[in-house]
Amino acid sequence: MNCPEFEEIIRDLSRSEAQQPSDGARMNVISAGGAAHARACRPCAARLAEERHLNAALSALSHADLHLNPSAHVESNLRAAFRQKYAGRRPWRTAFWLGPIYAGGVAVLAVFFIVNHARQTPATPPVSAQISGPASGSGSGLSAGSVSRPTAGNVQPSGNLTPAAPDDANPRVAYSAPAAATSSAPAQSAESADDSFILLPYSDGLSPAESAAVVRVTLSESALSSWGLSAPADAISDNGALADLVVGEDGTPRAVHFVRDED
Amino acid sequence: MSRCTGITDDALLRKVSHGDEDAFAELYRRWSGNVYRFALHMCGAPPVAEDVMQEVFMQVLRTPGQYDATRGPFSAFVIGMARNMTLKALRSGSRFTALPDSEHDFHTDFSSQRAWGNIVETVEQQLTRRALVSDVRRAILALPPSYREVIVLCELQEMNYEEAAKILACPIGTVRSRLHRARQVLAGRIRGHAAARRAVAVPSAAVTGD
Repeated sequence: MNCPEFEEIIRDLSRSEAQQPSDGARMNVISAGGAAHARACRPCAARLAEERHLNAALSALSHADLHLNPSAHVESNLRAAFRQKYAGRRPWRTAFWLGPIYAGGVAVLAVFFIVNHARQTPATPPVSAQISGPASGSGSGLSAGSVSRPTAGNVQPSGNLTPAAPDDANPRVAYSAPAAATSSAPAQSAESADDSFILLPYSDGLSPAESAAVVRVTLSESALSSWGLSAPADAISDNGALADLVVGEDGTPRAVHFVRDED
Repeated sequence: MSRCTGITDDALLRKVSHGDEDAFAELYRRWSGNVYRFALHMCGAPPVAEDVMQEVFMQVLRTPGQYDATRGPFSAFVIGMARNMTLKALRSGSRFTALPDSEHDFHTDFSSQRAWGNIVETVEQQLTRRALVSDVRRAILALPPSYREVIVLCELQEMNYEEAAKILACPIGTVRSRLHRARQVLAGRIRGHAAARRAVAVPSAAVTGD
């Protein structure tokens, strides 16, 4: 080993006495070579002594400063900043006992909703009809519920769509207007003569909770033919047949009632 | 014992991000000393070191998700932040007012039996060691920052080359070479301080007739 090589290992060599290196075998070889060189070379021996003195000085400083810590007010400042940041948030651990409370609250609300809903819904629907569609032959039910009837003044009195005895191939349902309906409704006059509504062939009927609107339209004969219907003679005018359509919430017509001349 | 004792730093940080103050306190308890001492050895001024350490933990508090455990230990992360902040302060030309040596070394006085095990020192030995600590502290503060930081990391914080290289963002070979050079400079300065002290001590002894 020469002096430059000794200089390369001098730190490890100087520390080898103070601590047990992990790669002991390698250090033993280095130590042996370095020690031999230091014995033969006085400058390198002096350097090694100086390095050991430096190690001792650094070690003394390190030990002396081990207990140096920041003031307590720094920790208080940081904790205050922490609380300020998370002021609006619950600590994480509180979620463990908040969870069941939240779940209980949701359960109570659900029970309340179900009970309230059951009170509002009659045990048996006021009017229900299971009527088979005439033209298609496929079964279609019309459960009549509350039907809002639009008027020119946007008055929507509620009424009931009730089935009437079918007098022909087309099933009929009766629409009974509420007593409080305003007189301005043009369709209201149609109720006196023939209130029966004919269920349209593709219609699935109305569910009890579903609301519907009645609109008055003029239907062409071709439109009636597509439904497999024919208008009575006294309901046909030059433009077509005047009719009231029951339109469900989804915008599809469910039943029709022809407005006759005497209406 | 805190309920957070024994939990990894990474897990503690996750708790911190959920607002767990105890986890934050545990992280602080674990690493505040190291960060503070690193900053203190780098700048020599306790108030600045406290500011740096506070800012480091404020950063942890602000963005707990910033630490990536796959890139190294949390200690390297916080000391890396402290290093950047300290260097920034040094570059900005702040005039640090370091405590006088006598005051700064107050804690290194005769309470040293604990630090040095059961070795009972004479008063003379304690004074010599105190002078040595003072010399090495001044010598470290006089080093250029690039040398100072490797001395602080590898010698005082007892990190290995790899950990130091991660913090300093440089190759391990660079750490080795800087450390070697820094130790040479440091040894020369300590030798100079000791010689100066002897030069002062000899005339005063001659005057008192010792």
